[in-house]
Amino acid sequence: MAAPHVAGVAALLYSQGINRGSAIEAALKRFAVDLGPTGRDNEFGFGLIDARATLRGLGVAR
Amino acid sequence: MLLLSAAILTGTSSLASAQPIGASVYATYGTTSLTASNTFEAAAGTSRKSAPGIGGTVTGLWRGLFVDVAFTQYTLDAQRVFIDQGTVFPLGIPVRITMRPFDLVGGWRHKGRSRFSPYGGAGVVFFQYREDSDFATAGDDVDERKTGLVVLAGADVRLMRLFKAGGEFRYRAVDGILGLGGVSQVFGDDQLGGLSFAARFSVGR
Repeated sequence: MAAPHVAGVAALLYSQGINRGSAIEAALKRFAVDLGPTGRDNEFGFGLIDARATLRGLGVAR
Repeated sequence: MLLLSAAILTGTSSLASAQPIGASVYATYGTTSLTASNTFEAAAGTSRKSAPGIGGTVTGLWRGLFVDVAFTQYTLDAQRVFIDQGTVFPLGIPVRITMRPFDLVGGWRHKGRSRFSPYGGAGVVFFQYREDSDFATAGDDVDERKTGLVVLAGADVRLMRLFKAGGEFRYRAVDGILGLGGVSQVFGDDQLGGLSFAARFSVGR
């Protein structure tokens, strides 16, 4: 059931102003919480998406 | 030897008496070009910020030696963003950035017979950096204090007995606040501070 969650967060990102598919994908990957072996793996992929962190994006120093 | 020491002491005291100790307070207003320009352009839309400041100087400690303290406060309205392949996506979440440098500088002021008086110096800056954003929870906001370097050079003109006006350049460099996360890490900007030029109005001797 990962796909509906990822699609939902992607839709929120689009509505927030990230209107490029590759950028949405990059945002989801950047803020995902890594699970299992470090980095992408066949069991967990890039990890668990973190909707709050992804939608908050980046501050200046943190 | 005793005579030589006496001669040096006499010379020093006569020079010191030529420039008696004086104190003045001043106000500044100037513009700073921030070093982390890419970071602030992305988050705040600008890397230049104008701000007022206040300070005080004690002069004539020994010949032209002076000690100067100065305080400035910069506030910037920015927003949280996401950056992908150089494209900045504003996310519409406001961020308030407050920077408070407190400078402690020692330097040299040339006092000739004219009203014109150039000066320069270097010292330490105690820098407070705050970043507050909407929807923040514990650990999201930033409140850091670091120490860095500051150098300054300027000149002023005595307009009346106790009133001087002039301008000065001031450069600050502070490490350890930027570059560890956020937009500054994406752009590799790891230094806070920048080059300022400010008009300065002093009252005092």
